[in-house]
Amino acid sequence: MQSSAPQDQRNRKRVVLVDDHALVRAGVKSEIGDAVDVVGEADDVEGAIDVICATVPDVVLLDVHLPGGNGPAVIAGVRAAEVQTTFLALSVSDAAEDVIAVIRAGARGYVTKAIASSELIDAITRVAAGDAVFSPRLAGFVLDAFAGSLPTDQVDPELDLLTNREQEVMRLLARGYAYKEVAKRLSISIKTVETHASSVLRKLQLSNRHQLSRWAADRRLI
Amino acid sequence: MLTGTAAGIAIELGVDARLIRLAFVLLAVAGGWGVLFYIGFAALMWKQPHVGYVPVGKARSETHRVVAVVAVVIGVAMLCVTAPIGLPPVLVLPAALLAAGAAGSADWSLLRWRPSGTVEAATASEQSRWRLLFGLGCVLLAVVVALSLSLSLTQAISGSIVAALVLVGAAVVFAPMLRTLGNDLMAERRERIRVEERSEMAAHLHDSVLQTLTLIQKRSNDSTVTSLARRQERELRGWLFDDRAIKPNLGFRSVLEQAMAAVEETHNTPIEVVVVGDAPVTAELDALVRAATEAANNAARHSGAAQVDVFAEISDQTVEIFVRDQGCGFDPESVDPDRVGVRDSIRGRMERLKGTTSITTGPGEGTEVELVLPFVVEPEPAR
Repeated sequence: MQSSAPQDQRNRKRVVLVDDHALVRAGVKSEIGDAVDVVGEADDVEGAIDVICATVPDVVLLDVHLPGGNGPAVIAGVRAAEVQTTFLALSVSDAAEDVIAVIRAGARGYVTKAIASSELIDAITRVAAGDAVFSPRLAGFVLDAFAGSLPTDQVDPELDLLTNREQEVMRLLARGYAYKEVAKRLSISIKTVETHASSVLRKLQLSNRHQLSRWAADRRLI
Repeated sequence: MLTGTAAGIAIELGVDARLIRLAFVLLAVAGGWGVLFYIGFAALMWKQPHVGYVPVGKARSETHRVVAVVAVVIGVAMLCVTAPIGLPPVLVLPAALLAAGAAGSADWSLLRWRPSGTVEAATASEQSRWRLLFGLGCVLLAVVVALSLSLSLTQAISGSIVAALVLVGAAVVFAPMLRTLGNDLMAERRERIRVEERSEMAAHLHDSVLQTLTLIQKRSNDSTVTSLARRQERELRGWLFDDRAIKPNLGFRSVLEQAMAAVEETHNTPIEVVVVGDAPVTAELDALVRAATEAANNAARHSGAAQVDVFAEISDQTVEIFVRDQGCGFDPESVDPDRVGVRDSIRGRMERLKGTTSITTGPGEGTEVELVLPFVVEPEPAR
């Protein structure tokens, strides 16, 4: 696992880890501790909201499943306290509706815990800069969520449909392409790829497409 | 006016409340039975102290209902006996007893529609068993009273025995039916408990074991341990998130995931599989999965990449599978002609399926194999 270039002390991102497993927190901390400052940890919803509000980190690495209410509850609590921070969902969970729920609550991306250290650090830097972070799996969930046609009178094209370009970007991300590879493949700039990704994230968060909720319900674990 | 009873009846019947009150007063003056009626209806409707009236059919306690029914039945019976109409007691008393028995024993809520899955709420409870006994007792008593009022005592007794025999006979006839119903309800309840327990266990495994397995993979430097943990994680994940454990018939998604899991195990290289859409597996799709498996095998065996990405998408017109690695790549011009894998297992297979294969690669550039199969599928609903 190649570590990313050492960052300037002033630019080091301040990160809070929220995960109910101390072992996982310790593991993640040791992986990213060289590149970012871990300023706080929490293992449940209430503790997470307190720590985040007290430290106001750049990025919160948020487990999807937590005792006392899961990831979306943390995001809602922090939003209610009007604290500005960015959430990156980090989970072993592959259940689509859990991931979609935390994104719709406001997380700026989703990566799995199996991610390489360098990629995790890269993802933290990118969400801190305002970008959306799509793992291949999240891109696949998005394509699934927006697949299929709806009766035209129920469609808000601004929110309920992906443009062709956005679909292309999502497909390439699902195929395992990094943003710069997507840019090269589509002959567009990385900045444009990021714009498309952010736009898709916004649609995922705001669309009331009934397909999205039905699809989520159909895949319910329990 | 005391309890809103008259108003309630008025609403229910759609007449002026004053008329109802007048009727109660007249009945009370005439023979005192109006008071009984009033108590009966009041109990029937009593629920919300301030509103007084709850529409008939809404939630009411068991005791209220019994009191109400008994009061009304007695009221009607007395009215019939004492009123100038002059109905003989021989008809009225047994009828009243029958009515009371029916009202007391039957669980009228059974007649109302209820969603499936709550049937269990209607199963025989201790209470309903007593109600049934009460009802049977009333019926038997009614028979005895009717007979004894019209016949001599000995005739009444023999008649009662006949009646009792009839009841026993009916019980024998209907017992198996009731028994079957009871068994069905038990089976349903057991099934639901089983599903609930499984869900609970799944949630627990997800939060504990799955986390640990992921951690082991990340922290262990021993490749055997890592691959073991990964395999366990995958199996557990499949059990948790798939219906596979419940429904054995596999869709395209499951078949592809299983095939890739086998490759992953053979070569000890993580394969990230992302599938969009699903469809029942046909012979064509099965062959497509085999071609993709061969491509993944090649990537894992030759590329030296740390990970292989597999992405499959089923749309209305095509099924596409991409197998990509970021390994050493190769020069397509200089491929050893002995390497039959690509030629036969991938290209040949796709040609027979009337699909296409394209391979994008170059030395040091990684490799991506793209398999496209024209395909018309009814997308599985809600998948």
